[in-house]
Amino acid sequence: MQKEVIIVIGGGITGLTVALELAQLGKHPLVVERGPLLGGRSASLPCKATDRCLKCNNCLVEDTLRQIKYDSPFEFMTHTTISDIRREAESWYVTLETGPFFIDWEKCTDCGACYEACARLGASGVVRGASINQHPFFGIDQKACSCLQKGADPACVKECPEGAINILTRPQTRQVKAHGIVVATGYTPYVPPEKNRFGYGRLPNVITTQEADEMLRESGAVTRPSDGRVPQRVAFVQCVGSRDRRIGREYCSRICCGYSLRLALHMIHKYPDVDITIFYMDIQNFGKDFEKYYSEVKDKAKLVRGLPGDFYALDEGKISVSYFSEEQQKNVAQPFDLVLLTIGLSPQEENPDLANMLGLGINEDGFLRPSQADASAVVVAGTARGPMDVAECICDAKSAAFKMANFLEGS
Amino acid sequence: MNSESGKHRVRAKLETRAQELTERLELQSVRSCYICRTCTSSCPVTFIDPRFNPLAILRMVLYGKIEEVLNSDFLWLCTSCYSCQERCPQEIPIADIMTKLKNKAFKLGNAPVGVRAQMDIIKKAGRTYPLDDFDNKKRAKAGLPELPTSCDVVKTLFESETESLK
Ligand SMILES: Cc1cc2nc3c(=O)[nH]c(=O)nc-3n(C[C@H](O)[C@H](O)[C@H](O)COP(=O)(O)OP(=O)(O)OC[C@H]3O[C@@H](n4cnc5c(N)ncnc54)[C@H](O)[C@@H]3O)c2cc1C
Ligand code: SF4
Ligand code: SF4
Repeated sequence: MQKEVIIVIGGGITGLTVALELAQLGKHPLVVERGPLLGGRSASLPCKATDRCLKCNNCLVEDTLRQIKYDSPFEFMTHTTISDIRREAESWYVTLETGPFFIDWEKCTDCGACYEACARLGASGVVRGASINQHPFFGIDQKACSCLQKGADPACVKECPEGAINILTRPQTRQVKAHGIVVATGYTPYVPPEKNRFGYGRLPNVITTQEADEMLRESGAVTRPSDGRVPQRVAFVQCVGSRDRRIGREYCSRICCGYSLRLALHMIHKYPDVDITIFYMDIQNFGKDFEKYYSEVKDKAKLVRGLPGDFYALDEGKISVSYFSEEQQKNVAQPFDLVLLTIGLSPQEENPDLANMLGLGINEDGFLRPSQADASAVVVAGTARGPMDVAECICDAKSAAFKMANFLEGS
Repeated sequence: MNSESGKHRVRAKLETRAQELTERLELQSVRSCYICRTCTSSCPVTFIDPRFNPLAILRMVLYGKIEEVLNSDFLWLCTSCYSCQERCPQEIPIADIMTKLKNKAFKLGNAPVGVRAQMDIIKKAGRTYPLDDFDNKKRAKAGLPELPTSCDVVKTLFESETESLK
């Protein structure tokens, strides 16, 4: 009997969990990841523990990555996209394209020679994972390759002792016959546009929570980009990129209140002197134990109901933030050393194309919705469906895997 | 008992009137306000005079206190800078609402003396700062062209506009 392959599109925490479950059920998932690495956005999230675990879920990702690295429970392809998909009778005929510039993860030993060669040139064409549990740990970001831009041969290729780096004239193609498809293509973190009132992109010490998370993961602390110093006064601005009609995002991203309050608690734990103010519309109370963290934040930080108006540059990289003060019943301007924009989750730009290709719907917020007619041959899971945190993604992925397994057994 | 039900009737009547006014002025969009306070924090007037608070005005309209707003003097502190309207995440046309409220207040004869005086000057001279021969002499000295000291077009426009407001 022919293997019943299930294509899992997207190698984030959702796609990886779906594949793990399917493999455990004796099925044959093939994870197709367009990026160079596995883990998606979740692989770069930091642990937000204080003197105790705050259940930010980020270690769950490590467990999953470790399992994949050491047990190789399923097949996956990185640097790969779907170029064509056809439905015939009960099967899908899928054309996959890898590269043309990519690292063959089966040959790669994670030695890092390519990364060093690229860094010596001051370029960032070879990218590195954020977790030691990631394999492949190195990959190619073709757009950032300075050698290709100069029309030269990439320096990393000949440095690789395993000959794992391929640079072909055309992408490598592969045809796969699949019996089911799981869409786990995730989300895009919101990035404020060029003109924005927060001063993002203009004032160096106004950054997104995603950038703060990456900093915490890399260096163990959230510091000021302008001088690397630990900030004294920090402002969080909630709902940036969510609940805003003007940018076409009317929905609440659901998880940002939770992750930002945890980040605030983590920062206070590390630097007890730090003075944190959180500007919010209303705090959306989702998830287990949330109330506990919320009460703790109320004790240790200042919560201001109302979003700020203007953000101006002051001396020494400080930012003046104006807001309506409830105590004084008037508008006041207060200086901050660092402003963190609590960004939301946006739908992937390609969702309409994917929906078209796979016969899915798009919901009013732009996320994917499984079509009624063919719900079981194509399953959508994780943040591709709408905002979720890692724990919810894992639950959703497991339920998607069961749905798919049921479908395969029925057919 | 009797006076109680009388009070109810009066309140009900007032509420209906407020509702009617809100609908006639097409202010229903205030219902979609999140109370995020972006408008107030962005308002340059609230910095100087906290009596003017755009969100508070919208809430008053929503809670049936529109007549209090129309009788107020703080309504006239709005500079029509549109900072609130530009930033409102619910796209509520806040500055336009202030203008509608001011127009209605004007019709009710509630415009402050200063506003009326300014209106008369514009009507007469076509501009807020009237010019006379003295100004034109100074302009000529500075090498600037002469400007008309009255402006009938504005007067006509103005009359038809104030007619429509009545
Ligand atoms: C600032 C910030 C902080 C957060 N902090 C926390 C936290 O503390 N705790 C928590 O639980 N959650 C947190 N989250 C949420 C968390 O990031 C998500 O829940 C989780 O990463 C979603 O996983 P996913 O697999 O659904 O999507 P993704 O991580 O987006 O993965 C999708 C993958 O699919 C790939 N892909 C997309 N399209 C295609 C395609 N067409 N073909 C092939 N591959 C494709 C992408 O390259 C990506 O690797 C945070 C989010 C943000 C923005
Ligand atoms: S979760 Fe909180 S910060 Fe995020 S959009 Fe909802 S209310 Fe705003
Ligand atoms: S900015 Fe808009 S949504 Fe926010 S408080 Fe003002 S009117 Fe309401």
